[in-house]
Amino acid sequence: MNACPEYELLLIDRAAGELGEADRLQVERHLADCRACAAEAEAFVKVLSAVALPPRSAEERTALASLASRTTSVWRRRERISNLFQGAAAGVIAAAVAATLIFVLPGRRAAVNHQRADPAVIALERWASPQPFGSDLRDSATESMEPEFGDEGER
Amino acid sequence: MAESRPPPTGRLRLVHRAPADEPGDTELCRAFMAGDEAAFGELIRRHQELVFDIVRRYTTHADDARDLSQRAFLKAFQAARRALRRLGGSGHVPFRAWLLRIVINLGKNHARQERRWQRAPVEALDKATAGLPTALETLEGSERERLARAAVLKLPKGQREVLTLRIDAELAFAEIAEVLGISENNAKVHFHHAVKRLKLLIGQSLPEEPL
Repeated sequence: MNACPEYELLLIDRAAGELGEADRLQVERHLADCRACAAEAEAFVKVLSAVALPPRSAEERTALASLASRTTSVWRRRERISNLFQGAAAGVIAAAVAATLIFVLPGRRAAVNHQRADPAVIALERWASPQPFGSDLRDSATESMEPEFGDEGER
Repeated sequence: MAESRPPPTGRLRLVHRAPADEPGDTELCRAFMAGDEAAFGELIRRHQELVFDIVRRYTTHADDARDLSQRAFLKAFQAARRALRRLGGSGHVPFRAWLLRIVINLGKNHARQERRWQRAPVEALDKATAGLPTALETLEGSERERLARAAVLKLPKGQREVLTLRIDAELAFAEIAEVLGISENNAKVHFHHAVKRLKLLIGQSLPEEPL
């Protein structure tokens, strides 16, 4: 004998304690008259009881009691390790930057200086300037017009 | 026959959230990030029973349950910390929903791995000899328990998740829907299907007298 289809979901809700008051009264009235639905209702209750977890064992209660302290200490340990790694990574980066400054940049500066010391480059730079011979001429003119104190005294 | 109704007071007890006068999960996460270590402990104590009971569904040893619970809290807090850093000072994170989602995923993965290991002959032999019954009732009871446990884990994913959150975590369907990202009605439908399927799977093995 099958249960009434329109009551099936209500019987599941009843077994799960999900029925509102009005529905509960209606279902209980129906169960008093319908043996098939009463058997089905009992079967649903049994199924939900069977799949419910048993009470926590002593071992599980102990495990639960230590959960907060253990989790907090694991978090602290992980954070310390993470900070250490971050510190180490920062140290490696700083060392790499320092090595770059010490070894690579002076070499480049020397190369630049060397390039500037090349006479051809200097000549080109001077030629390209607005007064390529200005300073030389001024210097030589000044030198020639200035009295030579040593000579004057002697005359 | 749907109607508005008060929270159920039947066989299942609902787990309520923190009272309004207590700091919320987001505030506790923020306090811990600011250096208040007690806040993390409070966050764990607030949800530990809920998490542990869900994990028990998927594990057979207390140590495994504790380790999975621990991992769930650590992952949830890492996620919350990332989100709060991104959101800035005024952000809110659904810590509890994330935590439950993580717990379910970790539990599911653990159960899958455990089943894989149990296929090994030596492990199966160990399990068989370690579980020798002392009386016929014990044998029948443990066999029923094993069948029920296996039947729940055999349910389709959606049905199993809803059933676990309803039966083990004792959450209301509204919160189950929030955690799983489905509608409340969909959660109820999953639950109904799960119970009907379980009745087919284990109904024959149940004793005649009421449990």
